[in-house]
Amino acid sequence: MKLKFSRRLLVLAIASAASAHATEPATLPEVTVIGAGVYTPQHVYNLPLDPGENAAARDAATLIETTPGAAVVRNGQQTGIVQLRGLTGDRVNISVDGMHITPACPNHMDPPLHYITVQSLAEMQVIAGITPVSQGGDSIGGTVIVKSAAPRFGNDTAFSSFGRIGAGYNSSNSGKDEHVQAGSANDRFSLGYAAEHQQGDNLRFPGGEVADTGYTLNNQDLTFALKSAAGVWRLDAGKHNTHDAGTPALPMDMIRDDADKLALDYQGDTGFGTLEAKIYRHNIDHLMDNYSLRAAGASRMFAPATSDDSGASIATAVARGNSILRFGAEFLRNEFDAYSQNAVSGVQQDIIRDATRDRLGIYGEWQASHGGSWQTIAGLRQDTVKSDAADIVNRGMAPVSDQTIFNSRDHDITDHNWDATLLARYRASPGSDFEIGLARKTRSPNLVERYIWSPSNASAGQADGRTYLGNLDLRPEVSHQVSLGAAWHSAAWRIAPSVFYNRVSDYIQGTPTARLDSSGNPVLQYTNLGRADLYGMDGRWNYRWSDAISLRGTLSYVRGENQDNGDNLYRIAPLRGDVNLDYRRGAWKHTVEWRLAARQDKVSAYNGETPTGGYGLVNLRTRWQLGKAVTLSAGVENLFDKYYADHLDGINRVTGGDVPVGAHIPGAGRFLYLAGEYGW
Amino acid sequence: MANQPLSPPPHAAQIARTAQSDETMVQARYQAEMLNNPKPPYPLAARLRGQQGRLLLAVQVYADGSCGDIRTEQSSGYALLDAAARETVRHWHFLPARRGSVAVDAWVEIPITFRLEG
Repeated sequence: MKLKFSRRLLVLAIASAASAHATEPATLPEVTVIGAGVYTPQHVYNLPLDPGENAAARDAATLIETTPGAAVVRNGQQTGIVQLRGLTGDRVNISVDGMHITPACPNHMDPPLHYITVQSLAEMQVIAGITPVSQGGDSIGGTVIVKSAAPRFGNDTAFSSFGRIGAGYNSSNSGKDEHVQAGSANDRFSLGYAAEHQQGDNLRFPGGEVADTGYTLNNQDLTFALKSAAGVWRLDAGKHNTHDAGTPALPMDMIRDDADKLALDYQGDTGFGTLEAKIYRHNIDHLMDNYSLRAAGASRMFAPATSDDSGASIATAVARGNSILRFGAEFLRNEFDAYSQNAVSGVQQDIIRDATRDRLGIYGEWQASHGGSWQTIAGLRQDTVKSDAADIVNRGMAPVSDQTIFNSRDHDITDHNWDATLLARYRASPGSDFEIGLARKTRSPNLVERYIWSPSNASAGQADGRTYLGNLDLRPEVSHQVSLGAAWHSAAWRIAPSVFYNRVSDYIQGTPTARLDSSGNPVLQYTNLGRADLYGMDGRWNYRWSDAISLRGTLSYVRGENQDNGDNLYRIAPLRGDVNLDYRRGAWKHTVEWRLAARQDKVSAYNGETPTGGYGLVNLRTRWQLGKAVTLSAGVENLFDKYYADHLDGINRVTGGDVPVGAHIPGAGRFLYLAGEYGW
Repeated sequence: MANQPLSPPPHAAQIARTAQSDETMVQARYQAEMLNNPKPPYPLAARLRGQQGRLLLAVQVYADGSCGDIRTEQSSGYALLDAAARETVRHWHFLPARRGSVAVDAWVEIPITFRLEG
C-alpha cells in the first residue's frame, strides 16, 4: 500500500515549514486505512451492553432475552439457562472468559452464565444458529460467548489508576447491587481488582410474593497482565460465592455455591496473524437442600456436589490473500461428584460418583472472500469425548437391583464426533445480502443423562417434576441444520429475517418406563429418539426516523416436534418479539419497550407440560451520561403492573407462598430501578 | 478523507496540468522518498474483532526528515489500531519543515482512520 496523499502531504509539510516557528503543529491530511471486514453470519449478535438497559437485569442470561432466536429458561432468579432456537442447556455452547463451565448442580441451578455478573461483562456475543467450528464443539445449538473487560494499559511508563464504582436498586425484590473495579497500569503492566455484591429478596408480582426467590451473591477478581512486543499475558484469579438462592421450580435450593478460578491467557497479535492460548481451572463446591429456604417435605434432604473443570486451548488465525485460516485445539476435563443425604437419618445416596468427562477437540476453518460478492466460512471439527463414573457405593433408599445393574456395566464410554459447517453470504446489491448455512453438529450425552443410576429428580434443570433414570447406552445426538437469511438495508433502515430447520437424530429425551415414581407418574429414562425437528424463523429490524428518534424490534418463533410420535418438544419458547422506541438527545437516552409473547399451547405430553397464556409488557428506561465519567439509569418495568407468567419460568413447587404449588411462576409486577456509576 | 473539494471536480485535462505542475515541484527532491511511506496495516486481530476507529498522532519531524517522538493524542479506542499506526509512522520519511531555506525540527498531527468494509 502506497500513500495516495503523498503529494498533499508534501504540500502541507511545506506549508507547515512556513509556520514552523508556530507552537500549533500542522494537521496533515487524514490517512484512511480500509480493512476487509471479516464476514460475520447474520445470526451472530454482539449485544450493545447498554448500561441503561442492563441496570434492571438480575443475571447475565437476562441480557439475551430480546436477541432474535434466544430465550431464557429459569428455575430461580439466578439460574438463567440459555435457549437458542429451541435448544437448551448442554446443547448450547457457552464460553465464559474462554472457560467451559460444567454446572455442579445436577439440576443446573448454576448454569455457566451464573458465574459471570452483569456488571463484569464487557462483551457478549450470541450466535443464535449455526456456530462456526472454531467457536466450539460438542453442542448442536448455538453459542453464547461472554468476556469480562480486557486488561487496561497506559501509553507510557508512568503508572496511572483507573476504575469505576457503581450501585443499583430494583424494587421488584428490593434487589441491590454494588460493584467496584480499580487498578493501575502503565504501558507494560496492568493490575486490576473487581468486586461485586448482589442481594435480592423474594420477587413481588401482582398478587403477592413468589416464595423462595431471594439470593445473595459475591464476586471478586484479581487480574495481572503483562504486555510485551510478543503479546499480552494475563493471569486471572477469582472467587464467586452464592448463598441462599431459591429455586422454586426445583426440588431443592442453592444454599451455598463457591467457585474459584485461576486462568492464564496469552494473546499474540501481529499484522499477519493471531495466536491465543489459555489454561484454566474452575472449581465449584455446591450445596443444596430442601428445608432451609422452604417448608420441608416428608424428608429433609441436602445434597453436596463438586464440579471441577480444567481446560487448555490454543487457537491461531492467519491471513492469506483473501482468506483467513483458523486452526485450533482444546482439551477439557470435568471431574464431577454429587450425593444426597437425609438430614435426619444421615443415610447417603450417590447421585453420580466420581465421574469424569474429557474432551479433546481439533478444528480447521477457512474463511474466504470470493470476488467481493461471495463470502464463505467452511470448517471441519473432530471431538473425542470420553466419560466415566465410579461404581455406586452408597445406594441410600434405592433398590439394590439398580445398584447391581449399574455396577455390573462398564461406565467408560468414548465417542468420536465430527462436525462440519458451511456458511455463505451473497451480496446481491449494496442494500441486500442473502445467506445460507449448512451444518452437521454432534453432542455427546452429559454425565446426568448417562450416569443417573436410579430414578432421581436430577434432570439437568428440566424442572418438569418428573423422575429420571440415566442410560449407559445413549448415543451422541447428531444435528443436520440448514438456515436461510436475508438482509435488506439502507442508511435509515434494516430488516434481517432468517428461517431455519434443524433435524436432530438420536435426540435425547426422557421416555416413560414401566416403573412409577412416588407421585404415581412413570419414571422417565433418557433415550435416543429416532428424530426430533426444530424449525422456525427469527430476525430483527430497525428504522432511524431522525438523529434523535429510532425504532427497533425483534421477532422469534420456533417449533419443536418429536417425529417418532408427533409430540411436542418440552419447554419451547412461544412466539415472541419486542418493539422499542429510542429517543436520544444530548446526554439523554430514553426508551419505551413493548415486549410481547404469544400463548404457548404446543406443549409436550410425555411429561405433562401445561400451556401458558400470552402477555404484553411495557417498560420505560432512561439513561443520562455525563462525559465518560458518570452514568445514571432509571426505569419502570411492567408499567401497567400486568400479571403474567413466562412459559420458560417453570412451575412452582414451594408451599406457603402466594403462588399455588403446580402453578406457573409469575413474572415481576411493576417495579422501579435506579442505578448509577462513576468511572475514572 | 479530509479536505474534500467544495467546488465541482475539475476537468480531466485540468487535473493533468495540475498534477504536472505539482510533480515538477515535488520531484525536485522528495518524491521518491514520499512514495515509500506505506499506510499502516490493518491488524488481523482487529479485523477479526471488528475494531474500527479514528486516532490522532502527534509526530515530531526532524530536520533530516526522519521521525522523532510520536504521541497518541487521541486513541482509536483500540490498542491494536493505535500501535499499528504508531509503528508504521515511526518509519515514515518526511519533507522537513523549513525556515527560509533551512530545515528545522517541527511537530505535525496525523489523523488516521481505520475502517472495515465488506
